[in-house]
Amino acid sequence: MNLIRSRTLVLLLGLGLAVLALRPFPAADRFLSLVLVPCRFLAELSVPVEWLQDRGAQAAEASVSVDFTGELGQHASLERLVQASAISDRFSVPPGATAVHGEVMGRDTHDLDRVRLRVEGCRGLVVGLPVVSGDWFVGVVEAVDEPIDGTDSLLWVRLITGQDERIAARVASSDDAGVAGQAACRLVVGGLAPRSDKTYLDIHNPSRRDVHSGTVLVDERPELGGRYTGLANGAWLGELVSEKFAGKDVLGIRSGLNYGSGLYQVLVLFPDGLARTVARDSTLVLEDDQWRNARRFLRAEPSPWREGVWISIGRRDGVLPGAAVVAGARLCGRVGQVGVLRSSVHELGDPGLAIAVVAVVGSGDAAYPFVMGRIESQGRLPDGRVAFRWDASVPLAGEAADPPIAVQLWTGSGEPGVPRGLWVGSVDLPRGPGPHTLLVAQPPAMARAGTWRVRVLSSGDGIQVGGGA
Amino acid sequence: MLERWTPWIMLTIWSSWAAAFQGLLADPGRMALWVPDLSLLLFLACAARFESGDVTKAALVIAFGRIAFSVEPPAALLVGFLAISVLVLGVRSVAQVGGPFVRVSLAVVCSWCLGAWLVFVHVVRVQRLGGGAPVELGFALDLWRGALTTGVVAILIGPTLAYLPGLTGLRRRPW
Repeated sequence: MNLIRSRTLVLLLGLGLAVLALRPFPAADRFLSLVLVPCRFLAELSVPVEWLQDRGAQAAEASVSVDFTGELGQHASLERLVQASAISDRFSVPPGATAVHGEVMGRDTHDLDRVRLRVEGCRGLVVGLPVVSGDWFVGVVEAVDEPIDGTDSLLWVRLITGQDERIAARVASSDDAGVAGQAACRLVVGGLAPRSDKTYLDIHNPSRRDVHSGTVLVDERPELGGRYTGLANGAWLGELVSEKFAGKDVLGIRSGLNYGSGLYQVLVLFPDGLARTVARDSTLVLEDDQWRNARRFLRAEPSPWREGVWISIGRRDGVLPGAAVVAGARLCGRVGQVGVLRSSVHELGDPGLAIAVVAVVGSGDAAYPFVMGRIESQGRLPDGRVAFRWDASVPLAGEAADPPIAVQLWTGSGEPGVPRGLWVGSVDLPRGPGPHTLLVAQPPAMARAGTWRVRVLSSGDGIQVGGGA
Repeated sequence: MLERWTPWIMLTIWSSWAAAFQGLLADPGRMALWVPDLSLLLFLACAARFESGDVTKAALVIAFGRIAFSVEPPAALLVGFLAISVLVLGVRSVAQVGGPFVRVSLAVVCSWCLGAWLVFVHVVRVQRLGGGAPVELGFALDLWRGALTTGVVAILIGPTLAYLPGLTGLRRRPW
C-alpha cells in the first residue's frame, strides 16, 4: 500500500514539475527557489573542484584588467549620438512647442502596441501629446503614471501600429506636386496593413485613389483631430507603396522605423507652458547607484550547449529576471532565475538570450547610431565568437551583395533592466534584408574579467521582463 | 540521527562535485558535446547499490547537486531525474541494473533522453517568451556524442561511484 502511495506521489510530483518546467508559474517558481536556497551553499563547497580548473584560463582572466575609463568614454559618446538621433533633420518642432527627450523602457507584455516611456526632468505631461523619433511619428501618450524621483515622468504611449489608432496624413511627393490642379491626397493612417508579415502601416479613406506612391506625413487639423496631435504635423509616417499580396493590390505605408524592437530615443512634443522641465544632474547610466557588485560562483554549467553561471546576489538585493550583468561597460549577460540568495546569469553565448542593440556606423563626425532591434543568441562557436540571429526588419542601407561593414554593437533601450550603451562586441554587419546571422567577437577571457555588476530594481523598472533571458 | 543523515549529506556533496566537474569539462569548446554525464553515472551507480526505497530520494538529491551549478530550470532537472529513477526502478524489477549490458544501455539511453528533454524545455520556454528557436530541435540528435561517452565511462567506472567515501550507510548488502 505504501509502495503504491509513494509511486502515485512520485508520479504526481513528476507531472507537476513537468508542467512547471514547460510553463513557469511565478508563485511556484518562488516556492521552488526557497526550497533550493541550500544550493547556494553547495556551490560554495565547490572549492576543491575549482582547483582543477584550467590554471591558464584562471591566470588569463585575472590578468585582464578592465579599462573602465576608456569604456566609459565610449559609452558617453554613444549616449550623445543616441540622444542626437532622436532629433530630426527633416521634421522640426513647430513654433510654440517644446520637445523633451524620452527613453523607451519596455513594452506592455499583453499589448505590444503600448510602450513605456521615461521622460527625465519633466513634469506635467498629459494624455494626448504626440511622440516622434527622429523624422518619424511614433504615437500618442495614452496614460501618465505618477511622477518618480520628483523630476521624471513615466508615460504609456500607444503606437500608431495599434489596431484602433488613427492619425490624419497627407501624401507629399514630387509626383503629386507635378500634377497641376490636383488636390493633395489626404488619408487616415493607423494599424497594420492586412498582410501576413505585418510590416506596413494601414491606410484608410484616401481622398484620391490614383496615388500609389509618395511620402506620407502627419497632417492633423486641430478642429478635427486630437488637441495636441497637430504638433506632430510634418512628421514622417513612411513611403506609400502598392504591392501585390495574396493576389490583390494592397496599399500600405512602409515605415523607416522599426516599431517592433527599434524604438529607443523619442521626443514628446507639448505646447509651451503645458509642462515644466526641471534641471537635473545628468549621470551616465554606468555611474548611477543602481548597480550591485556580484561574486561569481564556479563557472561550471553541466549542459554543454548552455553558457551560464551563478552569482552571489538575489531577490533580497533587488535583482530582477532579465537584468543586465556587466564588467566595466561590457555586457556579460542577463539574469535568468532569481533566488533569494543567488541568481543565474545567462551569458551572451547562451542560445536564446535576446537583447536590443544599436550599431555605431561610421566614425568621427559622420558616426551615427543604427538601431538594429533585437538580436537572439544562437550559441558560441568553437572560435569564441557568438552567433546571433538578426531579423533586420529595417536593414542597413545598401545591396545584399555590398561588403559588410565593421561596427561595434551596443545595447539599445526598451528592455527593462538592460540600459542602453553597454558594449556587446564587434561584428561585420551585412547589408540588405534579413534574416542574417551575425558573428559577434567577444573574447571570452575579456567577457569574464573584472568585477561583475548587476542592474537592480529602480522605480519605474517594475514591469515584467519580457523574453530572452 | 547523524548516522542516518551523513550518507545523504555526503551524496549531496559528491553529486554537486560531479556536476561541477562535468561543467568544467564542458566549458565551451570543441569537445564539449563529448563530455559524459557524471551526475547520471553517479545516480546509476547508486541505483544499483541502494535499497529500492532510496533510489527516488537519491535521484532528487543528485538533481539538487546539479541545480547548484546549472542554469537549466530546476523543475526540468528534477523531473528529468525523477523520470530516470522511475525507469531504473522499472528495469531493476526485471534485471540486474549493475550488470554491464543493462548499466551501459541505461547510461546511453538516460543520458540522451535527459539532454533532449532539457533542449526541448529550453526551446519551449524561449518561444513562449516570444523568441525564435534558440536551437533546432534536431540539435537533440547531436547529443548522441555525450550519451556514447557516458556509456563508455559507465563500462570503465560503473558501480564504483557508489563506493565513494561516506555512502556506506546507503549501500545494501551484496547478493
